[in-house]
Amino acid sequence: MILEHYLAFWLHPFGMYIRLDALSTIFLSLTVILGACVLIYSIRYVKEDRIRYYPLLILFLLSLSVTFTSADLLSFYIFFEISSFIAYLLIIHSRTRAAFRAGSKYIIMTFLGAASIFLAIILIHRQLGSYKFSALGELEVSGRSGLIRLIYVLFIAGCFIKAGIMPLHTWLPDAHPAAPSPISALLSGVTIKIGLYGIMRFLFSTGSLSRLAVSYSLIGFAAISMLAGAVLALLQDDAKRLLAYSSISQMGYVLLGIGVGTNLSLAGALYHSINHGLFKGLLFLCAGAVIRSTRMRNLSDLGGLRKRMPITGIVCLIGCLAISGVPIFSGFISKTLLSRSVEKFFCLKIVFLLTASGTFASYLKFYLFTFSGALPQGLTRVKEVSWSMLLPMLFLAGFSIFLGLFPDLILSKVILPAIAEISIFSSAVKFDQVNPLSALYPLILGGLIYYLGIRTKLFFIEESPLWQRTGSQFRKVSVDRFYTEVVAMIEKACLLFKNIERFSFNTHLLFILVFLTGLVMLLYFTPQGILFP
Amino acid sequence: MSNFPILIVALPLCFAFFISLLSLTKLNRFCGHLALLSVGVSFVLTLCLGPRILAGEKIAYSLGNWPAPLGINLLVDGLSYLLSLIFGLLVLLSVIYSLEDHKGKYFSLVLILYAGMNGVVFTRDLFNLYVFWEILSISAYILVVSPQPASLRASLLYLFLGSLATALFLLGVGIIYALAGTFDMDALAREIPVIWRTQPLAILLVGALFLVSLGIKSGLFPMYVWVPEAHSLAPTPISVLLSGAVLKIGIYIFIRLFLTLFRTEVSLEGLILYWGLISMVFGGCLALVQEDLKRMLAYSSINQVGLILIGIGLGTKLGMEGSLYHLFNHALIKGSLFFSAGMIIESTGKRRIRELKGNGIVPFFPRFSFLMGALAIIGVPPLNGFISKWLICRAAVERGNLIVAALILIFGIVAAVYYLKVVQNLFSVAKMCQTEKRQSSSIPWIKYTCLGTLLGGSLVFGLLPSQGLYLIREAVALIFP
Repeated sequence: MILEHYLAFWLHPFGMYIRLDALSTIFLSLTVILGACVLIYSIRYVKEDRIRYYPLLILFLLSLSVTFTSADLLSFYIFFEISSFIAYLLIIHSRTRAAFRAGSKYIIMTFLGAASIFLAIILIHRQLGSYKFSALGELEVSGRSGLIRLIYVLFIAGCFIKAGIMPLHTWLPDAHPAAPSPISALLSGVTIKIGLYGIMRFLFSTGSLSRLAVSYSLIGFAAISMLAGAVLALLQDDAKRLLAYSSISQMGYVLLGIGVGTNLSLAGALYHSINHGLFKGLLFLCAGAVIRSTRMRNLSDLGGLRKRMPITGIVCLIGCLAISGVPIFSGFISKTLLSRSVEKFFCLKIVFLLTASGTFASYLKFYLFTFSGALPQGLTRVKEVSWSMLLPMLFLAGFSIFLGLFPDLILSKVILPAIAEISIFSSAVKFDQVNPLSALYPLILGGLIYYLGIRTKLFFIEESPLWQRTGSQFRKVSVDRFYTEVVAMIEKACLLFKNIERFSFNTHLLFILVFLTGLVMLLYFTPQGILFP
Repeated sequence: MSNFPILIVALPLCFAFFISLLSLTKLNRFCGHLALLSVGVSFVLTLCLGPRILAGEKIAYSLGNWPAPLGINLLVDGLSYLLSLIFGLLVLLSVIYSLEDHKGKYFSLVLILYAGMNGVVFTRDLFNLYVFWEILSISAYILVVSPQPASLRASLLYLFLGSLATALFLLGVGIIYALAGTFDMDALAREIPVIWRTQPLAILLVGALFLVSLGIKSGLFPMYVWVPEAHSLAPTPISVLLSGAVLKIGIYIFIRLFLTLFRTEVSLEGLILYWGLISMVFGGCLALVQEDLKRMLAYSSINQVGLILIGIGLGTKLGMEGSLYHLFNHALIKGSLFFSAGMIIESTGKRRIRELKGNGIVPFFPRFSFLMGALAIIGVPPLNGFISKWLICRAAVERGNLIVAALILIFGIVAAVYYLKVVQNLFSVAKMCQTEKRQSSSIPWIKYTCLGTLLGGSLVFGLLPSQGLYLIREAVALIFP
């Protein structure tokens, strides 16, 4: 059933449509479930400035929900932008210097992405005369192929920034640690899915996945994100940064599923979006619980919390196992669907194996460094967090197991209706003939990586001699550094330009006279006026 | 009702006279209230004209019952009504804002400014337009002076450049009179195509003179220099008027003269487009590196005026719609930004952006309204700046000028950078000592109502663009029938 409604009271002459179909429902329910968990969790987590936090959080959830249920590009863009900005206000909630810096980076990049989407939308409106998703089918035949290609690039690049796909991801690892943990859970669980949701809607409405170039480039970016995200997650010491890099890698999985474009891979992608929303939300809430009770966030400072915070330890373990793709947990299902859909491509299989093992290794590190081992001196008096924080985590953990135990139910009731709406093919997807042992290879490899990483101390950039020697070279190629340098260069140019303020009045008068003379000459030589390019 | 136009202009002028007399007596403190009364009556008269103007009617009034070519005609049409509405609102709010802080002659100057502005937009006589323009400019030069010593220099700078501009304008008017023998705009519209055939160069020279003079008055790129000085050092309500109303006069005259008079001869669209583009880029770049809060707002005005010009330069109906809408929106937004900046500066005594840290020092409402104003001017959706920016971008894309649309969006992001820098400082926690906390003076509630009105307006015109488009429909129909 599809519900559609015209919002008459808002933006009247231009029109805004709200529409609820199966694809929207998936993301909407993810927003609602995670949002409810976060609202409950925040009661005890956020202590300062609640008067600002809660209205913003509710507005944030509202705008996210409308983003997922919009039926036209215009309202998609409008609520995309509103939710981005509210997210900015939530990210800077702690008002520390680091939060402001991360917030600035986030908002500039997101606005860039939004501007690029906006330009694409205006171009689409010029081509089609309509903003509705349902009209997008005619985009392919509506104009010059160069223009159409530009529209694709603009829209997809905007969505990439929002989704944190490499190499446009650099806001993500800064914004997540800076935000309060419940907000990181929402950012990672729901907000970055907006980008992928936008790509899905756009590509399937235009039917452009039949273009090989689109498909291959999506797969290429997905593979880069998967691998690089997993490797960088391994190297992090800050717990929330680790989770943030891992989000980049997991978004790569979803994008890969979209890029391959078969029903099987789409089912995997949607399933993985749901799963990732739930277990990454759970993991961020766990990290928040640990930070709340220990006031520390570096993995190397933590340890042995299993005895002190037993319930958090268990739900965190469930989250780690789920994201690593261990059977009976939810990640296993979606990763298996995705890996079965790329069986024909050898390279992608290798990427898959490496990413999965890297993910497992990084979560081994996350869990073991936090909850096992010896308790450091300072943490002997740590207590378990309160029930209002534990309940949402327990609920999310239970949900992750549920999604892992009943894949066919979810597939047939939730995901296949959505695929039937957007995909041109109509083959059934079933979750059967799966050998749980196939999950063993990445686990073994991941364990090996973890062992090697610990033995060689490669995991910690400060301690490892290898990183100390090569680190500076390594950082030179970082995209983040590149972006920062570009921004610094622009600012320097503006500062140089600012010297014009120091010119004397006479100089300014001279400018005016020169301008007047120039204008007269210009009009003299081109009396018809200056024509457009 | 047909004598409303002259009442709207004359009432503030008469009151200005009385107030300057009153300021010499002991009833000095009632000057503000009297000014408020007269501005209020004028504004209500303007509003009363609304239904008929928006229904497509034009209301004409001939001074002394002399018919058109001989006497001076006042005419209220869609375009002048839109501008007069903006002026009335801003002047009313500024008078309310300054009730407590100023007295005496200040109010009579504001009233003269108001009369001049309405006169410029109502008159159909070119020389009369010059006279009113000079009247409003002179009172603006004086009003810029505030207790700060540097403001004297700013006022002089404004005076020199402004007189240069009006002198160039007068030269152009003189040449036109020598050629056509009339000042009446309707008659000129008939005469100019005839003159163009014999003496095109004279018309081009007039065009160039007018362009430079309007460029100075609306603060476009090479002749912007008075804008940051005057805006940043003037008292708060005057900054609001300068940015929201006085800069717009130049644009109004431009639209009036070039799009209704010289339209058939010279196609200036390309020139205007590039000029606007350069101004936008320049204003944006310099606003990015300003350290003074009000200077930054002034450069941001240059940026926005450039954007309005781009919309005009695109030369399509949609572009004109967008740029008139943006003109209206910019008046609302910049008004609320300057008001809140003024309150912030008043309550902290600091005006450098870097020193504005202080969650506890600055009251909540100015901070909040600064945030909302910044959002509106960046173009974040539910507020009105988004609608007009969107219309202009659409016009650019439909005209095939993708790069212009991209630049407009990019400079929206640049605006986001420099506004959010201030917002971050305003919302950050600063360590403050007790003395500083005591310093922060409370702000009377009546000033909050000014701010609230403008913010409410920018929210309403963002949520309901149909209302805004209804307001500007007649003005656009004048140029693109």
